[in-house]
Amino acid sequence: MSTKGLLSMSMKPWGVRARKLAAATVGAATVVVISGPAAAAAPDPVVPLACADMGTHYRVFNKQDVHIPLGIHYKSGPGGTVKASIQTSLSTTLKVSMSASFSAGALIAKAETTFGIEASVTATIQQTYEYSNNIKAGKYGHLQFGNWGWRMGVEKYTLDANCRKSSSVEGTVTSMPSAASWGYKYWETAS
Amino acid sequence: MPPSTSAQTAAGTTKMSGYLAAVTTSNASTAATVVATGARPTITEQSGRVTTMVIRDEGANVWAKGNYRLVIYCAGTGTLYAYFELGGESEIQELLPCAPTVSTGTVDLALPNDASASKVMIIPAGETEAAVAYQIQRV
Repeated sequence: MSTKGLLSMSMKPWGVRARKLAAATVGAATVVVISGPAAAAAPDPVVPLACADMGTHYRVFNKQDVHIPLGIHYKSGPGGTVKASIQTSLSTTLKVSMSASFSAGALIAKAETTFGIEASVTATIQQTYEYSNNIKAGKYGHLQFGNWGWRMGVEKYTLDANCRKSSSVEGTVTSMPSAASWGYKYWETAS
Repeated sequence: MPPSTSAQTAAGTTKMSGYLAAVTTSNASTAATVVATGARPTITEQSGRVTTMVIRDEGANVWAKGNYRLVIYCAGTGTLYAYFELGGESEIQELLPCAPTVSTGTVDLALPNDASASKVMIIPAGETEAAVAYQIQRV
């Protein structure tokens, strides 16, 4: 092999075959310059983009069913029957206990996505219905109409341009109305 | 459900009034009645849109051991699912389709021991538009 051939081989990655070939052709009258592979061209510097999720976010957790009472609290007894009459135009609105402002719409949307529920910032029912319940002898019966919503924990946090959490506040959604579930709750007391 | 036009709402209201009246008449209490509800629609209006309403009533009182029957009355269109729970016992059933004349469905539960807490849920399927009433009887 000629020197030119060896030099052209030296431009390729330094492998076993190349070394053996070079060793086989070294002789007293031949000077072989063996060089390592040419350095790869440096890549263009990476310019980081801002975090795609930069901004304010909500996380919800620990969902529990709650009855959100509305209208008249009926009580009767001892014993007999307690009856509730028709009431009109009852409504309830999202209530949150947190030391930070929040977007009601964003919070509802997050809860719906996280839990697969159908919630509402404000829920209204035009007309309730009658309901009666027998009361155990010696007890007082209580009836109240309401919306069957949820209570849950909430975290409001912010992601900065590097996708790092830059602030976080936790609070409680004390009542989040459901869009469609309404009804009565009955209970008894001794007095 | 799509927003209703005023004409549709008026016609729907008239039909629903008839369904409510029919169901109320059928749901007369008897000596066996423990809980009774008045007739209510399976739809409600939220923010100008007609939406399906899930009926859910719960009690936190004690139920003596024995046999109980949930009797559901329905008039209108569509299908209802009835969920009945007393203590740790529960059943859910798909009821016969509602019709313009009142139809009746029942769900039975047997309590082997005294139990606390009760739950009744009436869940309309799809675009059910009906009036519903129910009572719980000790049988």
